[in-house]
Amino acid sequence: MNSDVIIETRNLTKVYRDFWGRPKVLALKALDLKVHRGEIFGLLGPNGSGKTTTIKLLLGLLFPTEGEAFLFGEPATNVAKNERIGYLPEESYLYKFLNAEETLHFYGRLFKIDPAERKKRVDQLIDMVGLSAAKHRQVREYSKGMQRRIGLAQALINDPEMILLDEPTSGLDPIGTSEIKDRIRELRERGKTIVLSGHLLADMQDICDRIAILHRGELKELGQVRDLLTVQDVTQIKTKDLPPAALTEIEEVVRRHGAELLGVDHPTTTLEELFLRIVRDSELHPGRRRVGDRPGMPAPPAGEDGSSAPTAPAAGRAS
Amino acid sequence: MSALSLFLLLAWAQAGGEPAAAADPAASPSPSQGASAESPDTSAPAAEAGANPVAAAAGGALPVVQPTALLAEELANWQKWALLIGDPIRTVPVWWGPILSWVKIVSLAGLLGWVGAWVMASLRGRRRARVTIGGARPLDAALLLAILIGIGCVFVRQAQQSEQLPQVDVAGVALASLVGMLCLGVGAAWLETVLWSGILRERRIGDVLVLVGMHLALLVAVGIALSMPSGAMPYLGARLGFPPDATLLTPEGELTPSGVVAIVLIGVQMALTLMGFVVFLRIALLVLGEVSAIRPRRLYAMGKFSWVESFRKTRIPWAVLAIFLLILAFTHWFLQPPDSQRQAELSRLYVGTLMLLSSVLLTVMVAVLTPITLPNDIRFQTIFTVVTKPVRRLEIIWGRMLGFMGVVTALVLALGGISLLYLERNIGGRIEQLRQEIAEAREAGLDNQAGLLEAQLDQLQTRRSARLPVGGSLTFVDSLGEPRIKGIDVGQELEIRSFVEGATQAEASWLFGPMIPHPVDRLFPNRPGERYPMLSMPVPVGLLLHEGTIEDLANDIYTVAYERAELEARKQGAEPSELSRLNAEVSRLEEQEQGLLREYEALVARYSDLVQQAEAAGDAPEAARLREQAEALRSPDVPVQMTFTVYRTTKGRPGEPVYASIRVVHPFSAEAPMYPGSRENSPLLIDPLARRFGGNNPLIPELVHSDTFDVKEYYTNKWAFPASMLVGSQGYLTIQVQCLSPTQYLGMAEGDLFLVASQGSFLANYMKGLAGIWLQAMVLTAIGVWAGTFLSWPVALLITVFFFAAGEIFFPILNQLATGQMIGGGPFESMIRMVSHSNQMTELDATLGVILAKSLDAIVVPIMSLLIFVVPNFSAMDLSNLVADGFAIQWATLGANILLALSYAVPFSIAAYFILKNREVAA
Repeated sequence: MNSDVIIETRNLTKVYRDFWGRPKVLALKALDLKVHRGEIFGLLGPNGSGKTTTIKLLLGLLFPTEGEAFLFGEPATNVAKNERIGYLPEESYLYKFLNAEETLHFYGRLFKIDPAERKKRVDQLIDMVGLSAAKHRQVREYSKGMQRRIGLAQALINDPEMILLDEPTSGLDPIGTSEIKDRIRELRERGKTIVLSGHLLADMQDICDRIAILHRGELKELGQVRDLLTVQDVTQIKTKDLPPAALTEIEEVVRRHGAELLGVDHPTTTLEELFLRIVRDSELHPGRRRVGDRPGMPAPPAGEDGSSAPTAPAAGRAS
Repeated sequence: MSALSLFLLLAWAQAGGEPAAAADPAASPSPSQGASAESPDTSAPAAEAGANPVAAAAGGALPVVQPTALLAEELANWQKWALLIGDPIRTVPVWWGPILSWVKIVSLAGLLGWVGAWVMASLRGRRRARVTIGGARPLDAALLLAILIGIGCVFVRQAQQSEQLPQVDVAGVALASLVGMLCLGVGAAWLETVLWSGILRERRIGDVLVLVGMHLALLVAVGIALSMPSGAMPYLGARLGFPPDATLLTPEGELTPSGVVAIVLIGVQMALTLMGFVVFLRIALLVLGEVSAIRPRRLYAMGKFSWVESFRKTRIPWAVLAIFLLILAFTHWFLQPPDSQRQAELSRLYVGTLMLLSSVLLTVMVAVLTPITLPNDIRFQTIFTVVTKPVRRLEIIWGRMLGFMGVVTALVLALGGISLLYLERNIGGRIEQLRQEIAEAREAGLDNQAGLLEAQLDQLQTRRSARLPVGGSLTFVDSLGEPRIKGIDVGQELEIRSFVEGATQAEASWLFGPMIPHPVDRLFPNRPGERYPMLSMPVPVGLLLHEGTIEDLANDIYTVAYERAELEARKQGAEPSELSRLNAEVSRLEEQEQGLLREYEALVARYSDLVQQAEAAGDAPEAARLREQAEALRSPDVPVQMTFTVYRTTKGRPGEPVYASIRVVHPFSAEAPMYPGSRENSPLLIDPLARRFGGNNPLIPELVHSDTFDVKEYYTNKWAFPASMLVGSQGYLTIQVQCLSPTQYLGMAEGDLFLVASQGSFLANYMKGLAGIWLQAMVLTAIGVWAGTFLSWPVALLITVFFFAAGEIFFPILNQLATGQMIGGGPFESMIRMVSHSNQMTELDATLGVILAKSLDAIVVPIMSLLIFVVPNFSAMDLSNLVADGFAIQWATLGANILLALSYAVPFSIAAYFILKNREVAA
């Protein structure tokens, strides 16, 4: 396996069964993906799409029904790989009877960290997440935002190479969300690989380099955020001071009238639109859509969202 | 015997049961059974006998069946070993035998777990079948049919045995049994298919190797079984529980169908054991790998976490402490001695109650705390943040156990400390009060009253000590002078003592010695049959004779003399070179003996001189000092303590006690022969210095020491004999007790009379008693954590409580089930007996209901019997009775109990590890 690949899944499948072993839910179906070192990778999907299941499979909290998952080239069930991983669960599943300091020391002791170094890191992390004033209060007394922050701190106690964040901004107010996003960007700047899941699309669009969109356990889209958001079959020309009469022959008119051509580019939609489109398409036509089916992607309905709809007619890809 | 019941019987036998014990000639003269049947006193529960430390030590042994190494002469040496090692019913009679037996039990549990886990995994992972019968796979349908037919076969066999159905045989074997075997074959085929398909699908190399290894083990077992000579068949049949009249061989020496069945059974039995070893090896390798990866810091982290969780989240330890203090505040209202004459009971009551209270509270705490935390951790998903750290599953299990045991340790120390303070305040206070009352009585001239109070004080102080008792082997002589195993039964149902009649020749005789025959062999030395193993109940001469004293020196002289006598004996027929070496050695010993004799004479002279000086001294303190110096040259008298009961056939005179005589007989004397029933009354030992001293041996002034005493009921009667009686005894001694009062009977059990080898600290003994509670808590913690790994907390809690109740209260019943001694049948038959008010001894009429009940019992009882190897013997770890009765808990007993506790706790924790490792915590 390429050392640049941090996570690799091959045909990763998970079927939840009932007490008698009968298949109940196909939570994940033949997932193949790779996450590379240093990128922020987003797992998107509606509720029940298999995002959390994927993360749990990667962490060894669940066992695959079929297929394999590797982290740092080792099987997901290998305990040793956890030395290099940080994990923030969907909810802050922390021990409510411990205070912030005790929580971080408890998790810190599970790693091979020198006691003096551990103490330093605990202080730094508490400071980083802004809980210095509340570090002696038991977690049960914390607000949800504070619990998310101490949750993030515990995920970073070992200074991990890769961090798995399951819905990191869930339940946070805009300020809290912004703070968490800032932290994530800081971590990327420090060369960490980050995998996060969520359905708050604006947040994901802001911070992810690559995303995978899951729907009912199937991978529906995978790629660079910018590439995915580009409307490939539409050319957008941005002009300035263009008279309305020149609309029919844009380039000639622009040149003939000596107007300044500001750029010829592909217009982009928002991640939210893309996401909704894929989900609706998948629900209308189950099983039809495959990864990379971009040409089949319908154009957004005109006027549905004025800010994002292309303003120019389709004219092929401009160079 | 149907195939299904046969299968269950095998499973039972594999786990150490004793099938058809009555039909097994090897089992019927079993020494252990014989001992328990013949001598009621070995487990005497009452008073001091009940706290017999010897019995407690035996209870603390590993849960293995004692060996009966009867092996057919026709078997080759390797076949004997193969049979012993492959047979879990018996322990190999070597030092590592008990360890091997433990491994066998763990192996079979591991085999069951491994097969069960793979069957589950295989069934869950299999794909939709192409061909089905009524929605089920053909093989599944066949298995279901086989189970139903198998149960039907059990029913048919029961009906045939009750003569309600005619017996139909095919080739000498019951048709129902043959059909049952066919069902067993279907089951085996189903298991093979499921295991192979599941393991190959998962492609787990280790488990594929295990499966291959198991089949190799099967082949080896079949090979060994087929190699058994036909001459050994009667013996092998007996081992398997075949009736003595079963025909296993034709007159020509060929195997009959029953003989073939016996060979198959031997093979299956051995195969199961060997397969278990294969699984054990796999488990051991996995666990060793896991253990090598364990780091103390992670264990500490998990342990500390459990500690904090216990105190902060559940707060159960605080509740335990509060309840203990609350109960203690009112205890003295309810704990009172039966009457003022029985002050010793006060100590027993307080100590027993406090230890019981500590034990109950700690047990409840552990039973509630340990099975709750892990299921809640999984339920509320807090475990996610733990298992995604580099902590190993075994570290989670052991770390949690360490944390809980830390809480238990803190509470044991807290409860123990409070208890000791409480005892000091109450019992210590009563002792001080008695001392004052004695002084006041003396001042008032009430000597009788003072004597009575002194006796009470003595009793209290005796119980507040840690006596190390040394017991002997008890036999009786009846009123006509005939030796007996037991004395008179006075008809009291619950009385565990035998009685001797007053003013007759009847006597009870305790024999001490390092190598003494079993009472049955002593009284009937020429009886036919196998002899019981020798008993070892020596007088601890080294402990009782103080070093450097007159008696110790005299004993040293005898030690040298014995050594010399042995060398003299070896000279007979020795080679010339060996003879000269022996002569030189004898000369050296003679010189050593002379030197010791001179030293002895000098010490005796010094003693006499000091005594004379003391007598001549006018100054009383000076005389006392001299006497003290003189006494320091002698070993103190050997203390004997006795607790007897009296059965009165007439009232006697008010206030007049029952009198008894006691006699200590040196092994050189012929007055207490080892074989009282034999015609030759020879002494136990030949005096090697007899020729030197003739009839006037200064080293042993008297060979028989007698006395008379009045028996105080409910009291510990104390007496002592001169230490010189132990000189040259080599640990042998006889103590005889007779009742002197006519028409009265003196009752005694083996544990009722003992020598006191030492008297230790009550405080240290109390702490050892608490250690017993700690060990119970450790085993229960392991069970609680184990149950919490795969059950929801309410079920885990119930399972933990069930294990404790079964091990503490119902262990004797499980023992009866496992050894086939349950009278009145299994649970279903017993239910019918209860409903129909039938007693346990009569055979029930063979109605349909009775046959059905017996059939169900035939299936259920063997499975229930397996519980004895899974349910920990909690009562064996409870040493509080010894503390309450003032007996020392020996380190050997404590050590045995630690091993016992570990032998349960470790497998449970390992099982918990495998369950947690293979469990999807996020599922």
